[in-house]
Amino acid sequence: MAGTTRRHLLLATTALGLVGVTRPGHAATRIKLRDIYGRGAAFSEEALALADRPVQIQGFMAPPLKPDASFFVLTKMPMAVCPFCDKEADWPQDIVLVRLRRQQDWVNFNLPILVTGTLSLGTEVDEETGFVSRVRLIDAAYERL
Amino acid sequence: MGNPFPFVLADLRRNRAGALAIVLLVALAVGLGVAVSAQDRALREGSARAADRFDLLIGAPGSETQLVLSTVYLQPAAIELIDGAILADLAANPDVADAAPIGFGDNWRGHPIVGTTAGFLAPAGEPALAEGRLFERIDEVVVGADVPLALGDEFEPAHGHVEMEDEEAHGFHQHVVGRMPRLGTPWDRAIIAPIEAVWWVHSLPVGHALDEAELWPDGPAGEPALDLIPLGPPFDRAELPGVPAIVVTPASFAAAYQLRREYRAADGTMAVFPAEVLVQLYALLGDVRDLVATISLLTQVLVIGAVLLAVLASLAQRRRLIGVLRALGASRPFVFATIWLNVALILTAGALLGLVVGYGGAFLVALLFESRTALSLPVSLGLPELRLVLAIVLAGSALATIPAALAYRGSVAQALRG
Repeated sequence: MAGTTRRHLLLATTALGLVGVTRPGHAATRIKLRDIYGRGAAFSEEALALADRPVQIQGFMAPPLKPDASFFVLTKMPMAVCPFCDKEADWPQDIVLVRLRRQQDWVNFNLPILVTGTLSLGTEVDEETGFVSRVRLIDAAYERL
Repeated sequence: MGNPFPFVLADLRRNRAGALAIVLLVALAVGLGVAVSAQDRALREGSARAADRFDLLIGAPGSETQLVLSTVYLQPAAIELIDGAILADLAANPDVADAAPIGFGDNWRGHPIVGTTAGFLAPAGEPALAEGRLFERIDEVVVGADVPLALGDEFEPAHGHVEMEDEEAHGFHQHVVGRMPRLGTPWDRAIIAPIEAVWWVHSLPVGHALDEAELWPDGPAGEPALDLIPLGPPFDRAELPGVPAIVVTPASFAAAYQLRREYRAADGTMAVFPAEVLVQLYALLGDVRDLVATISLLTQVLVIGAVLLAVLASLAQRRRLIGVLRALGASRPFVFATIWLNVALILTAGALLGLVVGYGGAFLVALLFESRTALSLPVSLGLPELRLVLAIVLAGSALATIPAALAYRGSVAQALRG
């Protein structure tokens, strides 16, 4: 655990020098879900600058696609339990596939969570499920807010 | 007097019955904890594995749990039909990698007959069959691993899921042409037919436009030309009767959620990820597991406490023996080691036996569960169970130092007199 923290710190220091919008006390750059996409289906400049670097994204856990899986989908709004949010969700712009470093317990779907992981951009076919994803947070971990 | 083992073993041999009783007591307490932990994991893994092929289910509005139980685990229930045209819509949707109808309801001697498409059985394009081939005619079927029918066998489906006294057969014979490999799911008990066959036996349109004159060359009283009926997609929208459920494989993560939302919002349908239902079930199971685990932990504490008390009480009996040992020049560490090893060996033996008892218990529960639901549970001993046993051994060994330290009390003369 101590090893990964140190590695994150190292990575974060690199990111800090290049981007410089890091919140004090946090190892990774915080980015908003809606700021990942630019105009149309392209990625924003901010997202491209952060590609393959550690970032933090706040959001909600979407209903699980696979039980007991080590991944989940992060959304802007708590769509699992809120029919109003579900209707408003702007698919497919608002989602990020989160691959966990190690399995964590599911949290209540209407509680906000903060996910830290390495930002991975571009269309990719998921090995486990065969589904296509465009934005991923890999080697990630999350905490309740 | 360097080696305390001969004394410990001799002592254990002398108190065989008592030692064995304690070992069994510890084994039962530990076994309960191990069994609950192993069983919980097995149930998760088994049910998750069974649901793996079912990404998104679309069915009629109602109980999500019931839709999952009926489709994934083939539990008989009254399920409403959804408009068959949805199948055509899904087939035309670029976000959908595959959409297969699941039509249950009929059975043969209690084995559910499930109608679907060949594509559902061969998701990667390659049918994973144990023997034979996939169905190519409406009257051909593929059977699950546990169906007592051989390739080439012929049977007649009966109405309804459960066998009834007054069975109404449909006058339609089906032939076995293939057998699925063992999946460890309730589908092992199922007979899988083309969905067209399920519609056909219920005198419904079969999803494809047919020329009635060609289909019935000898008139409606004669034999139909069944080989004229095409199977699987593309279906003719106008000819599609209702289906109980549709299994959808989305093309992307976003599509999965998009489709779920679309068919939740639509009138007359409901969409659910089986994983959603399973995660709720796991949360419930987790609560039960935690409760039983707490009870099991308390039992272990009680048993270890009782064991320590018994050892303390037996110290009075052993006083003379210890006195003799001391008179013969046994050092304090030697006496300590003798008593400590005695207790630690009994507890360790009990804990290890508990691992076996727990595994056996979980295995028996899994067998019982499988015979009821046809869902096989992969029971295994994992890290959590080994950790539990290790914790018991360590805690017991630490506590065993108490009687071991107390054994050397008093003078040798006192001990020998007592």
